[in-house]
Amino acid sequence: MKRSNEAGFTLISVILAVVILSIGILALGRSQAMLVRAQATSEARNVALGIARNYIEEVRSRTAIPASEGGTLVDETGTAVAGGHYNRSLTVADLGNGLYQATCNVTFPRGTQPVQIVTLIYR
Amino acid sequence: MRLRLPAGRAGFTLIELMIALVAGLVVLAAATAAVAATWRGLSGGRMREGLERNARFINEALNRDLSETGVGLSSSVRFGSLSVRGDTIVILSVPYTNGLVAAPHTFQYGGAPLAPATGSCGTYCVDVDTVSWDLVANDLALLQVNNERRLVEVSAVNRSGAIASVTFRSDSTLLQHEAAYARNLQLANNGTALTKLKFVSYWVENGNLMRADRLNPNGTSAGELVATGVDSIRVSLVFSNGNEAATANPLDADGENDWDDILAVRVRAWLKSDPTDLRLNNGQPVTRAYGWWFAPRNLRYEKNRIS
Repeated sequence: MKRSNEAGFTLISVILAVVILSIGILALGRSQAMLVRAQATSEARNVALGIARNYIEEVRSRTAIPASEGGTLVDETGTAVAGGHYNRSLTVADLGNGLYQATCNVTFPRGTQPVQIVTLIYR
Repeated sequence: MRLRLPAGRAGFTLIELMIALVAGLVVLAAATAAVAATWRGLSGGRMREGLERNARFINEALNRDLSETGVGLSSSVRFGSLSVRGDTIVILSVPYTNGLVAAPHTFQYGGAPLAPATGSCGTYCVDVDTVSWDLVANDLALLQVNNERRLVEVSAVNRSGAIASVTFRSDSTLLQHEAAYARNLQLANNGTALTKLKFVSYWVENGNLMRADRLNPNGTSAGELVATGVDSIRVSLVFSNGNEAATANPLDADGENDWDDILAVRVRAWLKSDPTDLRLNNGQPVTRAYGWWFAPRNLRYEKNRIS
């Protein structure tokens, strides 16, 4: 038995609709993944900032003239450990007249730019 | 009566309806999952924010109290205005009242030299002057005999004219310090004084951070809850030579790492989220580690003076 007026969609229009839908869903998924990644990165950056801030405090409280230090792997509490996920380094520039500029850089997982804290120390 | 559709409006077949329903359900399920994930993300964010807030609060509370370390009280080799052990921090200072620092009350005794571990008005009792009197029962005080220092908890005060008889508890340790007549302290007619002290102590108890600034009549600290969700805390001392240790060592041969060599205190804290959310981390609290560094100003001044 054949019914008349059974036009339906053509294969092309169905495929087109599916493709458009998939693009939408993919974009949504990607944005969600980016959001999660951004959140994780921001968390790690927050920890790195805490490490840098504490280390600058530590350097400031030393009585000796500050000196540059190479990269040290530290954990989230700022303690030096092998295999730490954060890399802390200190650069000291002598500005003359007993004034030193100390820059603490801390790289963190998934971060493209290290967090940086700059301070002036008078000795 | 049977309804008949007009010609050209055939409606959907059962198969079409079912496919549409299934497709609709799949879309609905996906949308629900997305909404649930968003909610979970929100809860996670709230939990992390709570942890951060807790950490910030603890950091600020410690910073505030540690900044008063050693006000009016410099450390000596065997006596630190800041002392730590395990998860406990004790901060000592001389209090200010009405803009004046609490003055030492000098020993008022002119009799025959006292035997070790003996007081002038009873075994655990000393007679002192009453100038700018500030001591009451349960106060913490510093009993100083020349270079020897002991903490005492005042248990009673009996004032009579210009002399006050101060009775104190017999405990030989108090707030991690030597107390009363520890090591057979001998009171000297000259060079003995009693000064009111202020203390703040922190420790962890049953997952809570406790703080005390008063003593109970039985010699223990009257702790008050400051923060919840504290898994553990580890405190260490940093000395002016750069060494870091769990506590000071004044009895060894060298003059380093004594109680008067402390430059800073490092606090490592493991905080856990509170309350737990069943949708996150299988309902288990999330623990996060924090590291803080505090260099109390007075200790820094002491160190600068020494070097």
